[in-house]
Amino acid sequence: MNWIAAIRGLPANPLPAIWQLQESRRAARTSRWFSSPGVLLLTVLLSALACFLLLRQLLVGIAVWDEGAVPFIRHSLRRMGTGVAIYFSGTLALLFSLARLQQALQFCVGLPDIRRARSGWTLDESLAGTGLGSAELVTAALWHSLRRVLPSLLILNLCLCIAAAVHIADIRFDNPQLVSAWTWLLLPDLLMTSLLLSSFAVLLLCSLALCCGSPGQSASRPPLLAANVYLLQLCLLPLQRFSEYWSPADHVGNLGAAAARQSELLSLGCGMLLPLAITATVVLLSRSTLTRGPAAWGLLLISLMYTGAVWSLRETIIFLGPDTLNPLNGPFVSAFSSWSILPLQLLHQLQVILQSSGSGQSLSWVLLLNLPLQLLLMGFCIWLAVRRAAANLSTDLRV
Amino acid sequence: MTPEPGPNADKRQPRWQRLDRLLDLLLIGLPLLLCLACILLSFLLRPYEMATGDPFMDWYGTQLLESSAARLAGDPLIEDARLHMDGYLEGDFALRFGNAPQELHSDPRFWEARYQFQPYDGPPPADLHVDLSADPDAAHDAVLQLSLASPAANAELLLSLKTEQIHDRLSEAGEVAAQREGRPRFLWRRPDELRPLLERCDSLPLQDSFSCLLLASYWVSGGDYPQARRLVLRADQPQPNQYPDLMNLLFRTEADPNELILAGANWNTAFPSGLSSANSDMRGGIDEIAELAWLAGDTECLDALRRAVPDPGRGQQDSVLDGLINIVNLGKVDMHIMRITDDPQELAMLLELRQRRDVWKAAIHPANRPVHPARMYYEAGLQWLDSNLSGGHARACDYNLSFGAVLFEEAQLLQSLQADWDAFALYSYTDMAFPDGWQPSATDLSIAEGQIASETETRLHRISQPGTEQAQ
Repeated sequence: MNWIAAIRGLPANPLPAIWQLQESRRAARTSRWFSSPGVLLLTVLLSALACFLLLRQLLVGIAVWDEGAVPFIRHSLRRMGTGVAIYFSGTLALLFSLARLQQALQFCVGLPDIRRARSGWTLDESLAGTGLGSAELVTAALWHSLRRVLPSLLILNLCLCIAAAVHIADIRFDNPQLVSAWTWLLLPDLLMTSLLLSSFAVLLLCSLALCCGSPGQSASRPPLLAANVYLLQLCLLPLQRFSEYWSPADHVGNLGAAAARQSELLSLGCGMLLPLAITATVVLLSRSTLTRGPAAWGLLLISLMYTGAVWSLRETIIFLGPDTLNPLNGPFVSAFSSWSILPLQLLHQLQVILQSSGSGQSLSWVLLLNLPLQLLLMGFCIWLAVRRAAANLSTDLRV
Repeated sequence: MTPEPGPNADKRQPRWQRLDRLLDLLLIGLPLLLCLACILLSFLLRPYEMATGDPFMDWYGTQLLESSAARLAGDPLIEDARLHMDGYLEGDFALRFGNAPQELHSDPRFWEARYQFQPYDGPPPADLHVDLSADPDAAHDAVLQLSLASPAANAELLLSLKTEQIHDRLSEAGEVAAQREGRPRFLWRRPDELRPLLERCDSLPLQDSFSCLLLASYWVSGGDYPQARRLVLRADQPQPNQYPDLMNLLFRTEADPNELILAGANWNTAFPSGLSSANSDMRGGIDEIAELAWLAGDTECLDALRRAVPDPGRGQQDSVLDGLINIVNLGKVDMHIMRITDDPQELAMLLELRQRRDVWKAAIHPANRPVHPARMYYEAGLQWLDSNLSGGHARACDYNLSFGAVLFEEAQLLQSLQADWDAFALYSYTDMAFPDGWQPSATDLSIAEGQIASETETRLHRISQPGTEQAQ
């Protein structure tokens, strides 16, 4: 198989090393911070906020240094220190992930344009030098993109898991009967699965960008391809929204009650709007080089929306308990999280599992079906996109 | 001529690279360093020890601190105590009262706190000898009975225990309080039960101004003005004992963060009057005493009442805020007697008194001191961050510190209005004079005459002359 061979041949593929070398050379010539003023500005704001909160705590601590502190001051210092460390690191990691993803998207969308030689080399020159086919090229580009985003994604997911661990510990201390000891085993699962889902989301966005960049293809193809995302969302969203209501005993009644909920209907509605946004940006990506830059930003923006925004990350962790007001249950997060590089939907699954274990209910097999199905459908979309990208490249390179 | 590059020219970092590293340290390193400093400082800080010089405050504060420290140490992640700080105490906190030093039993605050913290579902205190879990009402009674046997027994403890029983018996007999009939007046339907009770209250060891005013309210409701007068004059005397509570720490302008947090915390105590019914009973009676004193021309009693009312007797008079915090009843004294005069000179003075009170009230009224929306959003956002980032603990601190800051602002405001307050509070009914010697002008007198003429139907008349003992 052509694609399997391409994946297995990745360690021997020289292209990622070449691109990395190019990037490191470029990075040696430009400032990390000043080359992305938006990231710099947001980081300054975040950092200033964190310093302000922590300094307030420290000042109280210093004010009572001589006479000692009441327990609340001591615990406030400790919890604020750890809390800000977790959330500040997580938010920065999210910010850097998005910045890296934007760079990866720019890279992918510009790669097939063999006539563009501003960076000092052209694709056909590279391929002529290495003797690689289009499948190897696409695989290398995706791997290169993923590799750039992965470190910050790992930190982000790690912070998420630590925060979830703190919250599980919190619930266990207050209500030991609510959370069994085996719940701790969910955390490594959460880390691995969220990394897997994040990686799939990055690969999907990058492969879409890759198949849009070819200058010689028909303008209608990428949007048609993006329409598959719509079908995918159509399959995923009802499953995600209603799987928790599934009960073998009375599934019809439960599902009926769930469908009657306004918030669930809103979830479905909002969720189905998002693929339209993806399709629109893909159209822009495939139109001309002029619209590619803004479109890549648009795709990134959608990705940011998918993450459910930074505040919902925090809300998610804090309210990760048996709470009907949980934002995870809300239409905003559930709709945007299906394709997120930060899979909040997973945390929702964790919450449902916590609820089930606390109330002694057995877990529904429908719930456990969510993740593999999501991965399968996302893999299918990636497969379609990379095939289109490879076909485009073959055509372009023949020219 | 271009200078020759030195041997280390290639190794030297460009300026933007140094700037990048500096930004790394500043934007990422500094917050993380501060996080570490916070965590380290939390372990380095030693526990606070209560040392107010007041034996009960020191004991009580130490129990609160030790209990919350133990709870937090065993359960560092609790955050269910965001609104009610008792969640930070051990479940068996009430047991600590059983191990308290014997000398504290003579302190009324000990029994107040014990009353507030008695357990409903925990093990009973060793010296209580009742099954608290079986009957919570019996538990209340048991604690009150214990307190009545102590040297700290006072009127509100006995009244809250016994009047409830009279009230129940009246209800069982089918009697219902008439409209606008206060609780003391309703209880006077059983004078044979209430009178001995009030006489027993009179002989209880603790007689401070709160007890005196409460008892006076009960006596006056039964029509016994001389008894009420005697108690009002006693309430005006300097009190031998003063019993500050935790809130007094908060009102001190030099209070430190520890005191602000400890005192501002919503512990399950509202000393000096946790017995809200006693408080409302007292307020109702003040109107009647004022009215009867005015009708009797008893200006000595009126002045004594005005002096006693702002200080319920359990607070230290060491700050402006402390002295002025209970002003709510003072205006009632004046306003109730304003309609009982047909002398233009008197009414003009009383109208001026009301005007001065309104000036003072308008200045302190929250509606006249609007908070800027930006500040509201800032504070709400800050509390939200504090609460959520720290699992509720930072909010426990920050909320009380903010509360303390607001109180300090209030204290400063009140201090700046001291002249307004004096102009209103130092009015003397005996001399019928303001401290600044203000006298009504011809216009004021004509306004007063007009008001009297227009309210002939509703205006009450004093029929007795000054100095008479009975009022009609």
